Amino acid sequence: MSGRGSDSRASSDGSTGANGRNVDPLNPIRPRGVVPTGRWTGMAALALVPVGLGVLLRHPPLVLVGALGVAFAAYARGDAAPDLDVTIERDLSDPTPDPGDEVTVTLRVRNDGDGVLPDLRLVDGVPAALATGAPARLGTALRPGRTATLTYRVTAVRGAHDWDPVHVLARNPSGSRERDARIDAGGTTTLRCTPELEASASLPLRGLTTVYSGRVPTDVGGAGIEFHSTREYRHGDPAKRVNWARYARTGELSTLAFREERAATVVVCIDAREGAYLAPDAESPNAVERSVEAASQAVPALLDSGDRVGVAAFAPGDCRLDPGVGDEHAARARKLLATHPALAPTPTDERFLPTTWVRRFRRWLPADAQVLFCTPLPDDYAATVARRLDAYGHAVTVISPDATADDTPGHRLAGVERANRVSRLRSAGIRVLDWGEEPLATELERAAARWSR
Amino acid sequence: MTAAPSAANRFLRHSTVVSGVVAVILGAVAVGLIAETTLQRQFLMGALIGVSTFGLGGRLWHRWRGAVGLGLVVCGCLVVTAAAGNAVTQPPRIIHRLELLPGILGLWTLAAALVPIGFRWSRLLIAVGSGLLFVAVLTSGVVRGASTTALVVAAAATILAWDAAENAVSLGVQVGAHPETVTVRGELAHVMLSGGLAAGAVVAVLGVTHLGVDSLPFEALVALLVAGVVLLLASHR
Repeated sequence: MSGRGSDSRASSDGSTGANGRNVDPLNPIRPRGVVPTGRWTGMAALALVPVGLGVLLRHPPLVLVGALGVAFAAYARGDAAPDLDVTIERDLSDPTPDPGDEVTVTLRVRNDGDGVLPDLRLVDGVPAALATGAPARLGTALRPGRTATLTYRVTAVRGAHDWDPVHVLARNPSGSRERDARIDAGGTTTLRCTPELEASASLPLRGLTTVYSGRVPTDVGGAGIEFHSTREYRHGDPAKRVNWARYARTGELSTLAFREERAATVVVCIDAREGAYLAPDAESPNAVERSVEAASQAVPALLDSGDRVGVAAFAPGDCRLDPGVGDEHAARARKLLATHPALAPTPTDERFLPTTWVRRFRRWLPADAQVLFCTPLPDDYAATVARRLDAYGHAVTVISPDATADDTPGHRLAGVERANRVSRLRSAGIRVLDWGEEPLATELERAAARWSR
Repeated sequence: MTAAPSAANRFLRHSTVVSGVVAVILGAVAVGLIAETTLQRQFLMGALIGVSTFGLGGRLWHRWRGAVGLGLVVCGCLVVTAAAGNAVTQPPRIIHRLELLPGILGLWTLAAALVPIGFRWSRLLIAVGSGLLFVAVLTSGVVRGASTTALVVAAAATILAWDAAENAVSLGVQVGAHPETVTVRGELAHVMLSGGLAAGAVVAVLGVTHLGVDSLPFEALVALLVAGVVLLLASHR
């Protein structure tokens, strides 16, 4: 991976990194190209002070001090911004790590120009989701043909992360002007981190099912395991379901009916709006990360038990996976959960119209689909969506990662509001799993004992 | 619930060490050149020890927030205050008292600017500190204390001290001063280039003196310099 940044390109690449989050937080509206730093402003005027004093006192050494100041001012004024002709390469020690792995990033910058770059400052465009121990920044001086290296480590998290162009600042020797450019390090550097899908404890589903057999017990009598009812024998009933005991006792033929176990269609919907990126503190994973984790456990568990599973994101962008079964479908779900930009570990700033989304989602949702809605319930609208989908006949189960904290009155109030949303949903007949600190499997076991069919 | 922060751009935003130390040393050189008497030099030495203790303590306190750092800061402040007090009261000639005080205060302010305690005020403190050093140099010139050479070199050292300090802050803002962030090459290159220019300018200015400025009408010299400034301000690049 290598790329060249030259003078002409440095001023024309203004569109890169314009998606808000990658702009230098210190200088968000910093202009590109040659920027006067203004650090020597007033030097010439200041130089006149000793000159004036020298004239008043008729003392030549003071005038000479003034001459020195004028020399510095002239130096700063005559000093042109350096021509930036550098090649930047970026290498990752492992472009496809597992979550939590440390990846070493090596950034090499070579001065291809004829002149010395006396003050070169580099800020690498590290993806916002990747945490670095030390900042990915370098300040150096570079002679023609020489290469400087910046090495730093990032900790991999789920997702496909693209590096932004390197922010390069080259100052002239006096520091009076600097050239500000974004230079691509060759093609895009991408770190792909795809976690394995791990099935957790089986997920208790609600009664809405398809016509296919599966493991969700229904209220329909037929073939199955759990006793449902008996009825009169009809011609054609299988002999193994005839109630022979009753026939022996009374001589009448009757047929046993069992609860039919059918497969369900489940759409796992993840709330990944900007407002759902919440965490109780800076170190904890945010609610979207936890929602994706819940989905990553639910999807294989459901697929293993023969249910049809689809995935959707309640977020900007078109993140939907039609319900399906099979290994190939599981692989597709894994890829979508890991790398879809709508489920990225940091929010996008795309515009989002929730009402339109709900309308489109309903149109897309199969009529017999249940919805597993993963949301931290950050606002009333998330609860409204759950109730509306439930009212349309899609049995909704809410898995809600708790992102509230109780360190300040404001945080406590947010916690109370969320608790109210949970109890309102429960009183509306919607199952809510309030997912606190414990592992999801434990919480599911506990909830399964509580929930009736 | 709080919005999850991004850790990617976390960096230590304070002035870099090498340029900061160079700035304080250059400031000390400037004050040392205008100090004529042994007594003044002794007080300056004391002040320098105080300023170094203050700077070291500030850095320790910034990193570990321990009592040692805070103690060193307080000790440094006391030593500087004592040196400044002596510099004002002890020297027999009033002009010697006048030229040393702004120098010591300037050094102290410059060190305070580069100690990473209140980074927001760094640029202001650097301006004030270098301004005080410059006042000390000017005072020495006004009272006709130091020789022409010492005065010009002290002025150059003052400008270089400001340049290095400002560069330390500028690097601190753009690149940061995290222990693992490497900026030494760039800092040294900047100091050396500015130092080279200063040396050239000093040699040129002193060369002009040796050409016999005294025989030149004084007004002609001043007019030449003012014309130079006007030409400079009028030139657009």
